[in-house]
Amino acid sequence: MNRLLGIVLAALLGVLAFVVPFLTPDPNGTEYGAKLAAPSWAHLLGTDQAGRDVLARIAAGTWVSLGTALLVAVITFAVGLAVGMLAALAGGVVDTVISRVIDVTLAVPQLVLALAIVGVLGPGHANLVLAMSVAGWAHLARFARAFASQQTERPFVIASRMSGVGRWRSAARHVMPATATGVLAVATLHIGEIVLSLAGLSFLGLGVSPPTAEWGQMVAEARGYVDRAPWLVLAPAVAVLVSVAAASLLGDALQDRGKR
Amino acid sequence: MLQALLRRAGQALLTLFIAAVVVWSLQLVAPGDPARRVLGALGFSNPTDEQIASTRRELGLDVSAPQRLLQWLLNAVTGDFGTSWRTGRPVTGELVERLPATLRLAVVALLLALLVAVPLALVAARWRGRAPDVGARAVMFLGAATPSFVVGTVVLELIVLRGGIGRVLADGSWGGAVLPAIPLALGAGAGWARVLRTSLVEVSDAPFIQISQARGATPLRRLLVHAMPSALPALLAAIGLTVGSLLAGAAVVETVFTWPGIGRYLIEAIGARDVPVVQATVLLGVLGYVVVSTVVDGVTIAITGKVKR
Amino acid sequence: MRTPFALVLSAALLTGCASAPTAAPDTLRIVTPYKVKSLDPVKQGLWSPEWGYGELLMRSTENGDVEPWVLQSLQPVTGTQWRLVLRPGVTFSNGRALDSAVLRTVLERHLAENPLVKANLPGATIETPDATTVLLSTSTPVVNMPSLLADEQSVTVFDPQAQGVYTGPFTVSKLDDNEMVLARNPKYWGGPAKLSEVRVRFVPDGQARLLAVRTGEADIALYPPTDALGAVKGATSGPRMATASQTLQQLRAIPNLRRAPMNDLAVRKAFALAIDYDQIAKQVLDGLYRTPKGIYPDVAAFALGTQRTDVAEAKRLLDDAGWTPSSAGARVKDGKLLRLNVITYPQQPDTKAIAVAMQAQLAAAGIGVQVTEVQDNYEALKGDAWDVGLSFDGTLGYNYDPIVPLRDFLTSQGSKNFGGIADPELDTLVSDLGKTADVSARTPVLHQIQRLIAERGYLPVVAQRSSAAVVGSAFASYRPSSVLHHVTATTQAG
Repeated sequence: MNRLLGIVLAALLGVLAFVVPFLTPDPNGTEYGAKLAAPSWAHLLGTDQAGRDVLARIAAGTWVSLGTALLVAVITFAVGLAVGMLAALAGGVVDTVISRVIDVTLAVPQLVLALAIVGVLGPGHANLVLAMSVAGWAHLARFARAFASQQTERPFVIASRMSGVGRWRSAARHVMPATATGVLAVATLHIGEIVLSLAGLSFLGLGVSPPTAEWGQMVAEARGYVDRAPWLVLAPAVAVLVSVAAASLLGDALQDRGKR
Repeated sequence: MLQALLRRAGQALLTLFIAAVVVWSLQLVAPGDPARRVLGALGFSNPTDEQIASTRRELGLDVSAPQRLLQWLLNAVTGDFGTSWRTGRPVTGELVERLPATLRLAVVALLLALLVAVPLALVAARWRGRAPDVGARAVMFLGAATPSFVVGTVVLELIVLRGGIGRVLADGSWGGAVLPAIPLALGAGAGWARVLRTSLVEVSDAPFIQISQARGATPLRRLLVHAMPSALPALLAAIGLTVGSLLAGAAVVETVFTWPGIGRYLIEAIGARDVPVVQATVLLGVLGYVVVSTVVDGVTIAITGKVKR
Repeated sequence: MRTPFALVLSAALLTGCASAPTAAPDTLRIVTPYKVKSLDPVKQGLWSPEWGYGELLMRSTENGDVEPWVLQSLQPVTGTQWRLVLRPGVTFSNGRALDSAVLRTVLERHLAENPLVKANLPGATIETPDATTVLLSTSTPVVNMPSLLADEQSVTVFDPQAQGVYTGPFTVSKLDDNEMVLARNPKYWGGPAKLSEVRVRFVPDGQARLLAVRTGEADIALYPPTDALGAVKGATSGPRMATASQTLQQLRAIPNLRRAPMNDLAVRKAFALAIDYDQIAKQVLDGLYRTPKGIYPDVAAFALGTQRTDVAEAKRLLDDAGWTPSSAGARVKDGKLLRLNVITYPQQPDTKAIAVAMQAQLAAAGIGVQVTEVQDNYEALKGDAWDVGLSFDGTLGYNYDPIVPLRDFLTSQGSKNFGGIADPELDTLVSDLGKTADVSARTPVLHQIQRLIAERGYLPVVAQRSSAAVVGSAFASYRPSSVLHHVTATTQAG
């Protein structure tokens, strides 16, 4: 049931990203004669302060907001998996050092670390991705390490090691796939959090530059019109909500499958 | 147990030290010449080489990086974080001025969040799997997934402007903290409720609870008296985590409500690339988190008598 | 467990809910984004005439003139000497009289510490023949002395023997990071001010400033964000929008001549012709701006209409210069796309709306636009990664003086010549202007300068506006000052 809802929501976002752009006007195309128009058949979600189609901007924003979150998720997933597996398989000093680094990184709240990085390097899309990735990998690495050590102790892995398969080859064949699946579930659960954080940072003006459509920034720009054009705030807010819901439902489903 | 507590405190200090080194070192990779930026902030649009050189001396940029780091750390221990590049005033003084407002906001938000979380979790756990549970979980989800700036914008529009309740020009007082605390409390409370519900449900299935049921305790009494104490560590851990993200959350809410706290100060500093202020504020956020999570761990150790891993 | 929460909550709601007290008619509550950081008369002196606790030697008026303020008269003696005669009876708020000896000390402090004064009064020497007269001599002629002394960043009049003591109708009774409180100065030389108290709150968020007036927490909001003004523009009840009479804020589109494609004259001219100035003022910015006809506002008698919109001619110019239309959305020449990187900055959120509009308008002529928002626009313009920098810098200044803005922005040695304009002809004209003491003789020179700037595409003015404010019902007839003197002795409720 939950999994189905998650798939439906994800499909909805997919349609928004891949299909809607072909059906709507240019997201940056201004039409000052039709400013702040209420939702209608011509503009399903109305228009904004520059007469731009809100649905088109929400759809374009999928690529920026959700796309960035996915990028950060992929980076943190890859780094977390690699570092965690390395710690689990190498053991000894390598494991101790990596574990300490993970502990310290986790001791700094993610968003605060991201703010520190953006604060010193300056706002901007690339810096934001860097900041969120640096702040987010450690959690996944800790998880990957725990999961991989568990896997190495499973009977068939030990058996394959005893039959003469090398440590690293055995890891690649047996430990890696299971660990990756487990970490993927956690990473998926994290996407929602990343979407929220990115929207917050963009709202504060630390993200992409205008006129690029980004959900958090769309809310920030719409604050002056909330009494006359509430759809300007509601549409991006719902987009964020749907993304977070999809990520958490799918993440839960993946985790359940991993447990079975 | 004492040994465990001491070890935890030692870990916290080490973490804080490493975090300080990392936060300071970030500026080494920052683009642009800080001396030029400081002069720009003071109104010198085309500074001469002489001015730049003397500013570099004033900022202490003419000595090597390790020396500067050491000096900064030594000063930081005594509570001196240098002067703001933007205003030329001591950072510590500016932070101390703004800290009470943020602490007030935080305390009110945490209280409100508890007020949201505990009843919601109890309702959900009491009627597990039934309509109230589904409803409560939907509320938890919406609360956690709605961006705080959206909640803040709606609160301003509906409660302050249409309802005529509260003020727009926040003065940083206890009374004024209630409205800005709502967006923070909603997000945090919803998250805590989820954690508390899960652990209440887990504990309820434990044998000793089943026994109390057999003895005829009412469901609510069972939850409150028997299950709650065992579910508490999980809630405490969740609260600790929330405090960690409080500075970032406060940055958003303080911007929406023009709350005169350190969150907004941090955002202003980021806009002006006022590095000393960013460093000090972030370190303060880390300090708050490390202290709270150490205390939470300490309490958990005291309650359960063992070290959590 | 519940009781303490309930107590906290109810106490909080009680204090939080108490609606703002109705302001006594002689108290004004005003919100502004800009903080007064200190009462330092040189570094932060510009705030003193703005908020009515200090004054200048000369002042700009609402109708474009400059008149004596603390002075009684300012007359040229020779080309390089001016006679400053003090108004009789001017005293500081502590009762001390302002005589020529005190003014001399004040001038000496500014000459030593104030970069603007230092730069504009070269080799200054001061004589005080009697108690009310000061003779100010410079090594080269300073023909714009009246305007210079009316500039809020130049000579602020302060008591050199006291801290933060000025001559204005108000005195500062409290100043911190959030608020400045001004009280009526009972000893004001011009008679007591109409208001007894002015409370100035520093609120950086534009949205919050506007809401504060709407909820009645403030009477006047300065620098209201344009995007939110639509709601109060033309309102018949409740808060209303008020604008100053003179449009002294010009949005410049500074071209970067140091790199392609803006180093191409045809591109610069096409750029200026393809912008729809009228649409930007009337539609994009809700009629809150006025359409610029040239680089100067109408109040300047010498203003020429040098700007117009003609997309067809823009296209023709680009065709002739070899920029051919392409499918990439922008024209191409020698394999290079005609794309401009336009700089905007968040302190002036309107720059963003204008850049977005320019993007659409310029596309019609085949000019592509990329918008980049920077935190510090001057800082970014000193770099080289830009083609057009949007910047709010009045071409006249708040003291109706064309000379300093021309010198700073458009001459080869100018301190704000970000685009690298190096035109000997323009340099000579501006330097001639600085030597022309006769005001009426300056007009032909200014006409020549305006034509030259337009012909060579050095400075399109994209939009212009006057200071605006949102006023609540208690101060419904308040009109913002064109020259930023927000509070004066005659400001009153009603």
